[in-house]
Amino acid sequence: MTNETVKKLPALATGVGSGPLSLRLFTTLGVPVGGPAGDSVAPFAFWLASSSIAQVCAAGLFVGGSILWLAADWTKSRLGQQDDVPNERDREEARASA
Amino acid sequence: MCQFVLFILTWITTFILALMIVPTIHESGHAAACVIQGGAVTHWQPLPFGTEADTGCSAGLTPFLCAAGSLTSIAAWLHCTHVFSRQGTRLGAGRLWNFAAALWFWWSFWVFGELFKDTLHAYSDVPLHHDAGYFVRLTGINPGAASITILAVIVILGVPLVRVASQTLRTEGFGG
Repeated sequence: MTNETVKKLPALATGVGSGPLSLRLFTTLGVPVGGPAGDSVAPFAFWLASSSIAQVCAAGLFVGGSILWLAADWTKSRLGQQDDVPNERDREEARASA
Repeated sequence: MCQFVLFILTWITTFILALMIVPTIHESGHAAACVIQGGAVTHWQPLPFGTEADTGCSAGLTPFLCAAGSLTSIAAWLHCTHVFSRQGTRLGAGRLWNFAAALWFWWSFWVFGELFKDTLHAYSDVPLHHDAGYFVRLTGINPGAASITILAVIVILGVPLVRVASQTLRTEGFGG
């Protein structure tokens, strides 16, 4: 697994966590989703929205993924800024060559 | 931060969109099976919001009608996965790609979740409105055999799922 792939995993975790949480939000707002005796995905959607285990896992993925992702983003932007500022040695070398 | 908010909105939108697409395809499969059997569709409720997703058929319940929903879901997912893996790269690495990747992810999520629930519903009783439970009752097969068969299908479908997901992670990722 490459470094770039590892960086994409927190983003994926954040996205995965956001799904069940939004389903719970819809139910809280008064839009019932699925049902235990329904057809197709209805029982699975109902379980995702009502199960506390599913919601805790989703919240964990969302919060953990967001923190890791934003931290990686922040570190990347800081390193980018440091690269932009020339250090003292670079400036001395530039003067010597001029 | 703006990118983060846009990412979350994309994943929530595609989550709900897939929650509309997958049951609509499933119920369309039941409706098509009903018509093939020579019956008429008495009611068709594809969306699982507020009311239960359900399809009524004048020809009555048959094993073919019960299995048609999940079989159609599987066929549509395989087609979607094939198109996404072959044509997805043409979308570039922008927002359109993020939307398509998240939609494929949630589509897979709902289809596999549906199949997993089917393995449990093979043991459910008929009054519950579950396809797998009805299928087992109508055919008279062992619920354990039905569950193992569905689990085997999940494992087989897991091969293209893992292949396309790892390919996506190696290339553009799922956004972010």
